[in-house]
Amino acid sequence: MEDIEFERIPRYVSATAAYRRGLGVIWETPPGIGGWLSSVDHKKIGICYIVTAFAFLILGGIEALVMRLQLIGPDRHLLTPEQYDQLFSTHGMTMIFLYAMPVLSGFSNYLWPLMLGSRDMAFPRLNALSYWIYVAAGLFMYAGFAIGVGPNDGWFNYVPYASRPYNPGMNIDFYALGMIYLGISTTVGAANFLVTVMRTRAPGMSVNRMPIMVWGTLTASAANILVVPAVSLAFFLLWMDRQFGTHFFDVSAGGQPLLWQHLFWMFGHPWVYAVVLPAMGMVSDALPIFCRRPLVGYTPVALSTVATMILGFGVWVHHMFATGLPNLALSFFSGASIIITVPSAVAVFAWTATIWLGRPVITTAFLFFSSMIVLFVIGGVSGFMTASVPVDWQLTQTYFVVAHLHYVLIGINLFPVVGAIYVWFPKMTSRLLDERLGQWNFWTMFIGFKLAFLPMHLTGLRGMPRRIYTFPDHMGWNILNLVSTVGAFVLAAGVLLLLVNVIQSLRSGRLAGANPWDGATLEWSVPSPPPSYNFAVIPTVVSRHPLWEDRLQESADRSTAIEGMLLDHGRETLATTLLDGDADAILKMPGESYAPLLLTVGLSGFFVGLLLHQWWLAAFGGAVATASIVGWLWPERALAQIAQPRHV
Amino acid sequence: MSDTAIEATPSAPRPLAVGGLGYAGVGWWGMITVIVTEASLFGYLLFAYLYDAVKVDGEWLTAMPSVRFALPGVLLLLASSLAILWGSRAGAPERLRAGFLAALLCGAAFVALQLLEWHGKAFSIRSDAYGSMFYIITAIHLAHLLAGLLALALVLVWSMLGYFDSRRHDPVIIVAAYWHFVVGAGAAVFIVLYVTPHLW
Repeated sequence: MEDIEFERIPRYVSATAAYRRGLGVIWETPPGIGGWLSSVDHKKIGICYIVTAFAFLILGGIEALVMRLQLIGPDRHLLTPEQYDQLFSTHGMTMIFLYAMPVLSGFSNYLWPLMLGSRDMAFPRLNALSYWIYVAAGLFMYAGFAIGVGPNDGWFNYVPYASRPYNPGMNIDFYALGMIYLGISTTVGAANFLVTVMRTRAPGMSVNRMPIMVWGTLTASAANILVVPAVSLAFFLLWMDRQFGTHFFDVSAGGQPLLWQHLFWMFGHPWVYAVVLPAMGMVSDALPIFCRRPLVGYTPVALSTVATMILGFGVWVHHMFATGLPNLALSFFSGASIIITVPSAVAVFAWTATIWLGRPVITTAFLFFSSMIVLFVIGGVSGFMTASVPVDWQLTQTYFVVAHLHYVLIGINLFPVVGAIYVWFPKMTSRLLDERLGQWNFWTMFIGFKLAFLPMHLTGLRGMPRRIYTFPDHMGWNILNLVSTVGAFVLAAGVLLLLVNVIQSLRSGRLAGANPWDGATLEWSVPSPPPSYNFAVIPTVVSRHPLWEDRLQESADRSTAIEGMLLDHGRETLATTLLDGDADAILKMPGESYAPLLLTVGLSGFFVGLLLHQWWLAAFGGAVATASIVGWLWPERALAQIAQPRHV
Repeated sequence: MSDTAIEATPSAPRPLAVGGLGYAGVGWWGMITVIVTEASLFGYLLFAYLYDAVKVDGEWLTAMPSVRFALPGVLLLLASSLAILWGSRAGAPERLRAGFLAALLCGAAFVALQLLEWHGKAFSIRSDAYGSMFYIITAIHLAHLLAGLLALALVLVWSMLGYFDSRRHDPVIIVAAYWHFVVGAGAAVFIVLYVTPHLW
């Protein structure tokens, strides 16, 4: 085995075809199913994430359409109350946990190393693990629904209705264990993002030169590692209450039902920001491309991203205004919820100013991003309204809240994501999406969304409660619900147009080239699709807009992705310092590995064993998982983790 | 561009460390994120305990918790941390193994004390909310400690295989950090479960 030196002076070269060929041999994932199952390439994992998340989006969308059919008019009985309960709970679980966060993780996985000028994420195998666990946990959470015992207590699953005496089936157990399992995926993914941004940026990319999307995902990841344990713990305690007769939430034996709500929302509200901040970051990075100028107010936008998250830790009680908490607590959390609009609004003004001062090019992506600003403002105002305690008492549990949360989640997650697909699809596939079909795609989605959710504010103001499986005639809700149902189907048709566009363009879309939109960040400097090693030499960055430097003339220095460190002694990338991004060390990167998949198989056995009380299976799965971890972490000479043999 | 290599020299080429980098390596930074997220878990766990304790209608404790097993336990944990510190300060492999083995034995003794304490309790995890909280907090801590014992054992094995020297020893500092965290969490659990009851 070849010895690894302790230190070396990296070779600085100009990228040539010969170097590229050599790097390709080092980094290419082997073809075939084995390569796919063991791949640690962040680009493959990112695309898998996005495709899987869209599969869940479609499932959740179909669930929504079935519910809208039920609510198309009064006294409909397409669904029984129990079926309706399972549908709205599964719809929420799917959209919030299995679509909204994973789709952003997919984009960040794909784009981060390309934007940061690195060859992979800091922990490539951990990246594969977070994807496999996401898939396994998603299937686990859907297994209950598939056999008729899906979650039926809403996505926030309040006790005591989720407790055993009131909910004796396996419904909540599928949900509880599935959420704990999914939490592992979210946590390892977040840890990976954090270390990646702290250690593997290109030399020269100081923190004030990072793309805003990196700020967004960084902030969301920091929040995730702090708050995911709260929800995992809550679901674990609930599962214990249900299966082993403990009394964490049982008021008759000294437990507290409100403890569930605290633990859930301590997680839940930061999570809401975690599923929008990276998407807002995508808008901050991509909207300026179509305005032909840099983002106005980079620093305030980056700082307000972080400020929103920090304030976001302190607003969870606004989900609990109607639970009889003391007035002092209500006032504090109401105040915090109102103040949080300030940093949230910074980005809105920055985007608006960017459009105002730029020369907008009206592409499909621009339409999605700019309409997102409108939806964000409307969703923000309805959120601001319910941040006020008396207004919340009037509106809580009504369709007004349903309208608010869909404006926020569809407006600030789905619309930016679809816009991002139009922007980065050419990078991922080398082909542009069709712009004509894109315009149809946008307007259908936008009009459908408005038809479905704008009237819901009124439905809520007129007193229609959420989560009722049908409603009587003569309540004044008939027309509003009919319009919402029509709108939901138009929105679904819009999403369908996106899929048509994707499938069509994959085959016959116009070839994009490396930089079809004339973007400014590093991912546009590499070919489409990028090679397995991303960059032939490690780029050097001297500004926020490496590809626009000739135009902006901010200084005489120029970034380069042509000349730099080669790093080709096996899979390697550069580690840089935390704040300034100075070259610090050479990282040895792992190759393909089955350990993440094996660990996922072991963990799946473990959780299925717990669910079915098959303790032998849980023990066996746990043993497989432990063995996978030990094998994974066993020091490897090729990764420079083992001391040199003593030369005598 | 031709296929010939063109060497472009930067102003000041300097040697960079390669691979296993100790505190500069990604493994160490990854462990920090593990500790942050696991420390959050203990934060929520102790919050849940205190929340139920403060909100309860009537008596929270069935009996004042005895420190007969818990105090020696937490002292053993602190001793194990000192052993790790002592063992990982020097480059000598014998001292490293002695320190980590001592910590392993302290940890194992803690496990024994914990099991003894559980065995002698008059209440169970099903008795009431206090019983549920007591057992779940100590059990989750024990699970973290068992993971730590496995990690200490691995470091011992790897050290005996000659994997470490003064430059390449990432697992030593990473496992040491985790172990100190487990000890710290144990101390926090001790304070909340055994000390705070005397304060109200």
